[in-house]
Amino acid sequence: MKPLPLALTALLAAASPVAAAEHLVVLSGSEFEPGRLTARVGDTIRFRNDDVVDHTVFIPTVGHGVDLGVTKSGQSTILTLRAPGRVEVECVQHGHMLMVVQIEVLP
Amino acid sequence: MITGTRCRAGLMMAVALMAAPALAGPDLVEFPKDYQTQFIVYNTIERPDRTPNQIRFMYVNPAAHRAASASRPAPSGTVLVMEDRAAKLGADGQPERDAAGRMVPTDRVLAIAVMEKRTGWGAGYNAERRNGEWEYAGFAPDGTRRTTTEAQTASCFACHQSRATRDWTFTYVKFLQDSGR
Ligand code: HEC
Ligand SMILES: [Cu+2]
Repeated sequence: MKPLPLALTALLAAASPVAAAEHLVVLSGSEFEPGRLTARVGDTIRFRNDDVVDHTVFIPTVGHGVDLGVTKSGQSTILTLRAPGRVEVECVQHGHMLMVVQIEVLP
Repeated sequence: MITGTRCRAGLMMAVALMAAPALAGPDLVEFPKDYQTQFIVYNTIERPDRTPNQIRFMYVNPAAHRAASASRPAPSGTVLVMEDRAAKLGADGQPERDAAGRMVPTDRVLAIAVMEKRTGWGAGYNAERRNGEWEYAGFAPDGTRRTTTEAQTASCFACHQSRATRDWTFTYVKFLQDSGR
């Protein structure tokens, strides 16, 4: 699917009657829980580290690349979803950790 | 000056006369001074957690990139450059964003990290430290070395270890995979 023109994306997001949602993703047992999520442009994801070890939320997907730095045990980090697309979320410390976020604009 | 040169030449001869020289250490990596004009930017990673906020530009040298694919990622001679640039801030002190929601970079370079791979490199390291044939080095924006000892690059090796299955890269092999190469 081709991404919508950006101006249109912004317009749709602005015109949306639905308020932006915050999604909770728990880092537990060195896994993302849930491992899959569908969300909308403008939403946020709260990554909450319930483990005793550090994790680092990192997105290598082109056009969405970001590294939020270390989220220590017991702490949370917020990611704002600013553009549509299929985004893979990884952890810097743990190469096996992976989650997929499908970011959509409102129809 | 002359004495120094002689001394160095003598030392190099002594090293050459010994068994195989240890192919390891940050000095092996030359500063790729033309990377901004000659290399290809394949990804950018925002670092909103850092002060100042920064955008990391990822570059690869074109000759290696032409030969690379996801299954044969980085041929000998691959040079990956990570250039940290300060983000442009708005009046509110928050990073400005473009129409795609991305942070807008300034021209201010804060740091440059390089990883380079060559046949035989890394042979001087023990198995625990070694990342295949990759070598790492850090530079100031003017090209001055920030890493001169193996101790100073130990953390580079250790952290990139978590991506051993992606040829020890966080972004480059992922880029090749995602772009279907
Ligand atoms: C704490 C972990 C960590 C350490 C220590 C570290 N790196 Fe990295 N490196 C990363 C991550 C993660 C990325 C992707 C960019 C980001 O998330 O900020 C990266 C990206 C890179 C890249 C771009 C290619 C790639 O792998 O994506 C280079 C070049 C690089 N690092 C060099 C170095 C050098 C040189 C050092 C030591 C001076 C170093 N790194 C130390 C985690 C680390
Ligand atoms: Cu982790």
